Amino acid sequence: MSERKRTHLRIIWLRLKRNKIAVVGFFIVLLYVVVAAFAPYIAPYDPYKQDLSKSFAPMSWEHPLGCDEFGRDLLSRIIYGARVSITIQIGSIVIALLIGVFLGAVGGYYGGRLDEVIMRLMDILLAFPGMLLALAIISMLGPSLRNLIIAIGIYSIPQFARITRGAVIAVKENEYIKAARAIGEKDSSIIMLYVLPNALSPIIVQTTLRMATVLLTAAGLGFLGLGVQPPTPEWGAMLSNARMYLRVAPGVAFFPGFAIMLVVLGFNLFGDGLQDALNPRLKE
Amino acid sequence: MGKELLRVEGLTTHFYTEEGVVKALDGVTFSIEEGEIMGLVGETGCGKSVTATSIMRLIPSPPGRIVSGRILFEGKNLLELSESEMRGVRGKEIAMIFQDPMSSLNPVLRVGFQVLEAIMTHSRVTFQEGMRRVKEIFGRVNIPDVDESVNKYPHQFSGGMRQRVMIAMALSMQPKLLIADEPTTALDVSIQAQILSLIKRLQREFSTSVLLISHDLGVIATMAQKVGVMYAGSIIEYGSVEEIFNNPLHPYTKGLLNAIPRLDSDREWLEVIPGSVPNLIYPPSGCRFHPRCPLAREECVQEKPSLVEVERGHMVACHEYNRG
Amino acid sequence: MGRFIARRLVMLIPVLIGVSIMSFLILHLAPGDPAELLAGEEATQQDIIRVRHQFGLDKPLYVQYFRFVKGIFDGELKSLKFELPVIDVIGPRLVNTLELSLASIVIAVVIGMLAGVLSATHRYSWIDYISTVVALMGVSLPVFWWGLLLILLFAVKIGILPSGGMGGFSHLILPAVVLGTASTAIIARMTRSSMLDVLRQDYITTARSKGLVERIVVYRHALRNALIPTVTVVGLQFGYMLAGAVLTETVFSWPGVGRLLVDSILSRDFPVVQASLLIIAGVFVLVNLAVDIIYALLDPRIRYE
Repeated sequence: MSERKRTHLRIIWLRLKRNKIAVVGFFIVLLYVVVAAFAPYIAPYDPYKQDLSKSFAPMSWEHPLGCDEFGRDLLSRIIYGARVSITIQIGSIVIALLIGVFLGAVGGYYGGRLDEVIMRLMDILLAFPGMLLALAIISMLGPSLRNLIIAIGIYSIPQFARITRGAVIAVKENEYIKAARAIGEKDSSIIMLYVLPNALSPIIVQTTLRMATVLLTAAGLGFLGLGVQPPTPEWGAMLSNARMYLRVAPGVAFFPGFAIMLVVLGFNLFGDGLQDALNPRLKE
Repeated sequence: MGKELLRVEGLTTHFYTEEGVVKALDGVTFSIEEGEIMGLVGETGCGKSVTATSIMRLIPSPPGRIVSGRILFEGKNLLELSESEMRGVRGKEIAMIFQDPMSSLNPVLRVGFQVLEAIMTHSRVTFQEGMRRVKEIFGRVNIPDVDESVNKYPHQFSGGMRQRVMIAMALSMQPKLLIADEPTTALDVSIQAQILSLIKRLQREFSTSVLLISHDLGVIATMAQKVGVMYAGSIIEYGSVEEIFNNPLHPYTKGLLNAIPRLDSDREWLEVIPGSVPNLIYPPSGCRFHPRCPLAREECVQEKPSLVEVERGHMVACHEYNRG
Repeated sequence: MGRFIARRLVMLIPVLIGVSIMSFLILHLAPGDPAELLAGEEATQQDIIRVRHQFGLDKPLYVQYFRFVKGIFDGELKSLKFELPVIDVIGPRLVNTLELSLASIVIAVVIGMLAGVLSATHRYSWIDYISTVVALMGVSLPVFWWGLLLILLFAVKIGILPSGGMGGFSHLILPAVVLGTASTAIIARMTRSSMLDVLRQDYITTARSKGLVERIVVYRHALRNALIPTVTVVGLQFGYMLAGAVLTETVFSWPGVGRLLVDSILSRDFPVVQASLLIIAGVFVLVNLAVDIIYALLDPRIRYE
């Protein structure tokens, strides 16, 4: 890595460290990833194991968050739920990145008709507000984990495409790009080696912030019964069940939702911090 | 010798920033008489604009603060007034025009309204009467098609016209003092002359005093009777325009005047003042010019020279002239 | 100005067409034979053949598409569950969603803008700090959880508000607050940053130099400028509400178009699903157009081109 790049990274790192809120966000995200990764070792019980005698058991030393209507330990279900959520997030973001960045880079670099067509397509995808597109796709394919990942992945494509395209266009007219073309370097290597690295920071920021949106969408779809199907522990679906028993056992509704909020908050805080660290507007 | 209108004494303004305390003004002292045009000249960053905003008490208060000094306007110390009393002064007794008329006018409000505001804030008139006055002053600053123009937006005018709007706004209440901060810097050269002559004419008509700030010595020479030369936060030479231009005393003033290329000299090289403008967070000790001064001595590093009258009305802050 | 609107409308048309095509294709991209999907689970072979003929599924795709679009507006396209034209099913629900969205956006704008202006004018004070924290949380809050919590508090524990359904003001307030929360946070943040930008501008110093009271400087000079980019955000939020209401409507059993969409998906009422998607997306696109127009109206620099 060149000397200049190394100092550049150091400056970003220092800026990030100074932003305490972003640091909090980072640790929340870290906690989330660790819990998801080591779920089998952390969770005290099997999240699928039912014990009807313990139905709606209150919080206790044995069951720190109590049990749900089937007597399953809530804490374990939430811990495993992190796994499910992170799987959905990673899966859909990978899809969105691969397709979105590709489309944005190609459209931005070549311009002209191709760019127009791609942008129109993105506009059409964006014409479906909020979760609507994901809903539409799920309604087509039917609810399951795999379809959820596809639906949310597709719904996330336009943002990545737009951001990549913007960054590519900004760099396209630079001298060294023209020089590389003049030498006869292949377009694909120009894009990969010179153009895309410039788009890296907005893409990273978008990825982090998108993780938050994806989680909210997945949980929302789960809540509607259109996401991951029971008995798989997914935080949104758990809330949907809890809704029926709100009077009896409010805890079952509280904790999964709180988990969602906490993780989303973590990604938002960290993403905002990243954005400030990578593009510092004068903080007055 | 007219009556004294404004007297600034030892004005010191600091800005408290993340990197440190910027000592922008370090004891600025000068005075302006009634009906007089005084120029304030110096390089970018020497504190000219800060002086202007300090007089108006428009220094943005989180980072900035007027630390000490007195600003006597018609005998009253402006620094002792309450904020609401000061508002009565702004726009009515003292008015200001700024460098870039495009960014200094509100883009979403009609220009007629913006001038009307100045009038209706300080006088109890009806809307109709106010608009009549607006149109009248538009006429006086030579804005054509007055009835249409008052309803237009700033972006619909050219740079020179916008500056006329600003002048109209500032002079609408016939203030006793007009502060003009680089009024022509953002304009084309041909328009500059028009605006300057407009200011001069109105100054005579309204008997307004003017504090004219510029980095352009030519502008000062054409317009002002008196001039103060600023360097790094204080006035280092001060006197009538003839005196300063024909008989500059301070090494910095000499350097400034020497840096102007002249058609009637044989010199082939442009004279340059060595070094660069000091960092005002860690300004040089004593006389702030000493690192760049060819005449610098031990006492220049130790002690800051004060403004001393060398000849009639001609004052200099330099140890070279401070003896006896 | 008229040309501006006309140009925007023209750009809309391909998007609207694309949206309608996508909605139409839902039925055909789903795995399985469309006729079987429409006929339902207990259909016999005869039923399927009948359905295929009835819905024109044996005709070429583009014919079906035109039939679909036409069918929405002339009542030919009927809901499988209610046996009414889809437009009659969707229409009243759309109005309900509109009512909820309007209430929510009003709350969001009033509270959000006020918080944003106060934040900007009292930087670094406790108001600013709390607003920022609350705004960050507001954006991270899962709508359905927040709704459940409020129901728990007001309907279950305190019992002063109903937990669902539509009715008078008391039925509207909780869903409106829940739906408006995220938007309030976003509008507050946007107003704040917009105001901060504007307050740094030269013309604000000019305004003060005329001797104007700070209140006028902030509300007449600064806010008028800060509103321009904020309006865009408000419009977009309103658009999202029309569709994001899905979750809120489900939690509060609000009979809106979002809930209708979900129910139709679950009950495999494809015509309603397709038509709802098309209509909701169409409304969203039109709201965006309206936002663009309002933006142009507010900024004299664009209006007097």
